[in-house]
Amino acid sequence: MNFSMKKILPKKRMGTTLKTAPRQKRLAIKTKISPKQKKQRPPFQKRVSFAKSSKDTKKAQKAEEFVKTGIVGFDALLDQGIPLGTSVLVAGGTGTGKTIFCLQTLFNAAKKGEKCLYLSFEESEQRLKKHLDDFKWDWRDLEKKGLLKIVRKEPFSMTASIEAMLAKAKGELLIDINEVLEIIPKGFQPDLIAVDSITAIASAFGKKEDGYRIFIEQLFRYFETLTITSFLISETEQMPTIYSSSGIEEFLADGVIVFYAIKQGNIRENALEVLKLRGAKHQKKIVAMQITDMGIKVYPEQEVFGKIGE
Amino acid sequence: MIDTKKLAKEFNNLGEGAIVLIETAASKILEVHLAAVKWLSDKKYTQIILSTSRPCKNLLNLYQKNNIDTNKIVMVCSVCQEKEKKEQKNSKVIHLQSSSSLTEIAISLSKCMESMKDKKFVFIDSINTLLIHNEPNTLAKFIHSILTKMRTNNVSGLLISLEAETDKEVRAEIAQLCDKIMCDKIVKV
Amino acid sequence: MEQLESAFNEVLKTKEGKSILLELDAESYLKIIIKTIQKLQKKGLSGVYISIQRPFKNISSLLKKQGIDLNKLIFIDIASAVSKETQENNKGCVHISSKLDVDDLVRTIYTSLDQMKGKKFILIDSLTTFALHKPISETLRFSEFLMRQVKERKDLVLILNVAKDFSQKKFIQDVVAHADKTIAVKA
Repeated sequence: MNFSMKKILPKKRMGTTLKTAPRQKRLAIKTKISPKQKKQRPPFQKRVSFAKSSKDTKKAQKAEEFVKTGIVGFDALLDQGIPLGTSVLVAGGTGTGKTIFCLQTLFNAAKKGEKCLYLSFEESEQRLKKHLDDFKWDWRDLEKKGLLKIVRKEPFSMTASIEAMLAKAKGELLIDINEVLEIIPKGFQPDLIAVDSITAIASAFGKKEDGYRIFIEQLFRYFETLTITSFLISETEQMPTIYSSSGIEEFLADGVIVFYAIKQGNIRENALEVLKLRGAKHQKKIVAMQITDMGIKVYPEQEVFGKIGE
Repeated sequence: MIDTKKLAKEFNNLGEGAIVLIETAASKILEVHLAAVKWLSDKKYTQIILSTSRPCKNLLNLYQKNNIDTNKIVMVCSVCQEKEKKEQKNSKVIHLQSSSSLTEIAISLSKCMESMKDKKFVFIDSINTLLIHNEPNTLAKFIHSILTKMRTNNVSGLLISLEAETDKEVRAEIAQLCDKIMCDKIVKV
Repeated sequence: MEQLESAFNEVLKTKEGKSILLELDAESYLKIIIKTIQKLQKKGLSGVYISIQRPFKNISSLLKKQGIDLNKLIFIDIASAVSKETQENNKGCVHISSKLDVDDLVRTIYTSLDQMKGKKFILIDSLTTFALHKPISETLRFSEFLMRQVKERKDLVLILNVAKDFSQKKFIQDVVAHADKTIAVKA
């Protein structure tokens, strides 16, 4: 990030420090920030008000440093939430609830006023909107307000652009991904993004694994630079031991949430676990989960009786 | 004929929160089931019945025929495997996917225990049917978990199994988790 | 019952630490546990009760009704932990993580023992239920470690309960081989 705190904080008044500044009416912080800096400005700093005491500010800041999914039972697995700006790999087999988890998290965040982008490389926008309707999540108003955007992209056209770009860059690792791929729609600055799925992107790269690796590394860095909290869906086996196609995504990601469909006789029972989450305390156990008519419900206190790992 | 007086005496001796395993012959299992449900119903217990042997509709008909008050009965049914139709949603019956979905069964039983305020009784019919669908070790873990939840919430319980049909090793694991084992002595000769 | 009485009398006479394996049938299980604790408390022993079978709330009220002095007992409530129930907040009850880490459990046992003076006992109720939640190898490692430790101490008696007819017969034989005394108690 290339901005200075001085440009954001108001000027010091004579004889005062920021800490002991008298209470004032709320001031809109108007500073001259270049368009590039505007893009890169961390979202939570926009909400800091200097009319409050520094204690309230710190408390507000701390609460806003974490993202809550709003999913019943899931947030109880985390001490405070998902740290802002982290990249989370959402891994699991087919039909285990990864898409619903991401949709539900983004929908809940959009309801709170966060800008959310669901980037799909598989299902169409209509299909995803139908999922939202099936769970009776009223997305239309949020879309109108510009808080929720669902965009579909063709993975093959994207990979072609990346390959051309890589050839042009002649092995240089630094590439401005968004300029080439327009991953984030112009004029839209998301706080949260879901990518569904990185497996589809990896498939589009085919045997060109090097290209994919460079791309995925740049993608993680890009989201990190913009302090976007990202959820990247990764398709795996039903009982995975590797959580991504190339194996590096789980190392690059700050967090890994794994979804399971545990075979029990002739049925499968859903479960999930927070495998890792940097910068946050979380419970380390596989817990029961159900996909209900109202969305995902997690039961953090419920033991899972299936044979996990078989 | 089941000696309900003996059954009542055994239960009264144990007090609240007791968990009993009734071992009976295959030919008597329905009789024992009905006698136990009737006694509990007369005592005004709210009953949470896990039905893995008979469909819930069949059981409810039998209860009505035997003048058992079903107002305080909630059935958790894993036999029908019916998807609840929204129009016909019956709050007295919870349908489950299968007798193998032990986690789902545990969630449903927990929800029932937590949502009901009166004195409650959990009735599991039967251990042998659950053994058909589940590994003995997994089932024993499930029974331990459910019984612990019941004990923590001061909920009494009744488990039915077939005497001499249950593998003695499986029986040992499950029976030791119960407060009392009742055999055919509750059945009048 | 007489066999149990004489076995305890014999064990408590010696100055060395001893371990006793009780093979109990389901019908007499609870009765024998109560008798065991009553006997040990009469002899002036305090103890650590590792409750895997039942949650603290349930077992403590059952024991209290039978006249057992709960002040001379420290409970380690594993039943609530493995069943993910909220663990009772009581000074006589020690919390344990639901992961049921054996090393952690051993540390908890020793910390609890340090809080007591004089001759003590550890009662594991039961190894059979412990084996439901942990692999047999870990259950064996846990029981063997404790039995070895007990032999080195003069002030400790270890009582392990297993269900009669438990499926893992080889495991039982391994425990029997290391225990100082094995008593098969019938109703």
